[in-house]
Amino acid sequence: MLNSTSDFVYLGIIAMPLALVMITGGIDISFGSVASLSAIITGVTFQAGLNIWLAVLVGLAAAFVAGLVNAALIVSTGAQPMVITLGTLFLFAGLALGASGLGGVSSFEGISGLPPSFVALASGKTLGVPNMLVIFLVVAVVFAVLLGKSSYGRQARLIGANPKAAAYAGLSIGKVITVSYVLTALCAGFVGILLTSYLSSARADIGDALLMPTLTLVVIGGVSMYGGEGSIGGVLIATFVIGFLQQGLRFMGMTENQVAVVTGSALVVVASLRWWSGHFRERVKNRRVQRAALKAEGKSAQPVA
Amino acid sequence: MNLRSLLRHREAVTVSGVVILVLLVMLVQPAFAAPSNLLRIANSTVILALLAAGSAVVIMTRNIDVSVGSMLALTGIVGGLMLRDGVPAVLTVVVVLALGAALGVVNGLGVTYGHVPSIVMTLGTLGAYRGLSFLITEGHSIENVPAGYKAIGRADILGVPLLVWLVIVALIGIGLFLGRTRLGRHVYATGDNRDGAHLIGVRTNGVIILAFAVSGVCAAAAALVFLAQVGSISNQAGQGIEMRAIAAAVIGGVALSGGVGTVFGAAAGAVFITAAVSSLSFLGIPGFWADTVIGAILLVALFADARVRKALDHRRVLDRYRAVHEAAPDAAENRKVAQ
Repeated sequence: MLNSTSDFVYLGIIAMPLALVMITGGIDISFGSVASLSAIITGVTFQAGLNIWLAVLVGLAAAFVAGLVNAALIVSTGAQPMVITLGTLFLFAGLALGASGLGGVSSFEGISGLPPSFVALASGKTLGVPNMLVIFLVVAVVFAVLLGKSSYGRQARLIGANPKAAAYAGLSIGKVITVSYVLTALCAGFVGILLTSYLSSARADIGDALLMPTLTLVVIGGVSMYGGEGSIGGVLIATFVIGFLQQGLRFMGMTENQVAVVTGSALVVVASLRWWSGHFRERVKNRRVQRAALKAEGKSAQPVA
Repeated sequence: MNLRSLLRHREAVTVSGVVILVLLVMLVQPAFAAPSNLLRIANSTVILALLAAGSAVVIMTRNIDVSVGSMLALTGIVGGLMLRDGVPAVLTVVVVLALGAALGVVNGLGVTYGHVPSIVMTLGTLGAYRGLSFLITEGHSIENVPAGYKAIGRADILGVPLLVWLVIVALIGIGLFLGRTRLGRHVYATGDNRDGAHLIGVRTNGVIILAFAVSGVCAAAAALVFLAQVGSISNQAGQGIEMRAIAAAVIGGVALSGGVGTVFGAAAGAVFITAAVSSLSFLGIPGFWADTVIGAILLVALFADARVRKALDHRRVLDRYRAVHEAAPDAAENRKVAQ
């Protein structure tokens, strides 16, 4: 049970900072490409003869730069984050392919022959708990504190809920937004490296399949697409619920595609239920107040008569 | 050139971009502008142009459709199975287009009555439709599309492939519908200001469902083109093409904030992307840089767009100041008279 978590918790590692981005009212769809970029750059620099851990640092630096590019474009143009990150989705994926092409890497095999100490990063265990899970929990705690206990988290929430009020309150919106995108890119790059270690091969398309499952986690975790609402706890729970749900469906003998149909439908139903349940709660509340008001009116009307 | 007309005619900018690109590459490699190569580009653009047009209609209503690639695969597989099993081509075309419309309506219903944000809804169906197409074929690809149907892909009129003509006619049809009919204008109104449109009597929910249906039909039409051109279809068909379709629409001047853009612009954006990618091989650049080029084009377009918009806003504010200051002396005099 614990071991099977390694097959999905890496999605949660990106979902946490992505939740932060969506809480500020933005969105980042380029993280899959950032993961690929950082993975292949790590692989290529390792192939060039660098120590693997230095190569990892180079890969993370590439992810950091990618995040800065995202943030700089979004803040400077004021265009919708969705289109900007759509552009960088292509840009970074192309750069990843380019890097692997320049490194002479075949796109099917990737770069293998990574040292065992690096492979142990994601496939190993600490005190009987898979490393991947440990890393995920550490990331979750960091982001829970960042969002729930720091002034940065409150600023992010205000910017998402009401950007104008945040601007009048004197918050440096650009800085808060930049941090959120850079954190997302860094975590995506880290996941790219983790996956490289897990599969013990660096590939330029390693992040291609990350987009949809990660967004699913964030949305099912209760983060609003319109900014201002959401919590890390919700994303944490969603990661395990969705992860174990999919594992369970696979155990029941469902194929990967049947699982995709179920997950896709679940995403839509949960998102719809969110609105409708809020709507009904509001209606019940309104009716209760109305009834109370009518009763009070009836009482106050009698003495007059 | 006037900045305002530049913004108003973004598709013209995109078209001139295509022309400039072709001329520039021609300077290096004259063979690029040979009619045969331009026809090849046109032939390979039609699928992307159809998908971009469909995405554009949805984007105009201030929604987004990322499920077009999966709709292409699902409708294409149903169409391929029908053709393979001897169903007449005309009936197949009708059924496939109707299926596309139905898939689009599901998206539209979720967005309007289900109150699911469009990106979440279509991400869900992106996975679900792709999964369904796998379930139908159990992972095998559909081969043996009859030669009679494949002949459509090779037929040409006046030297230009029949499919290109058909797609041009279809795009003109959608363009006229959006620009010249009441319902078409409602699409723009809904995207520009949904509440406002609702207040003046536009059935905004119906319009949004219609836009998603148009996108579904376009995806189904793209699947029919795919079957005619390729002659077989696998479950992976159209994987990841939704992002290219949205990129084409945005390059062609369709704003993600809704209410702005034309299908011609989106189609021109698709031509631009295809031409840019195919120019790589003529310039001796390895094909794996294609995505980088698309991303760079998109970002440059967005950056230029933002700059022009900012300059325009600036000028509007200046004009307003000037108007106030010119009117001020009169106002001061009027006050004196009143006293």
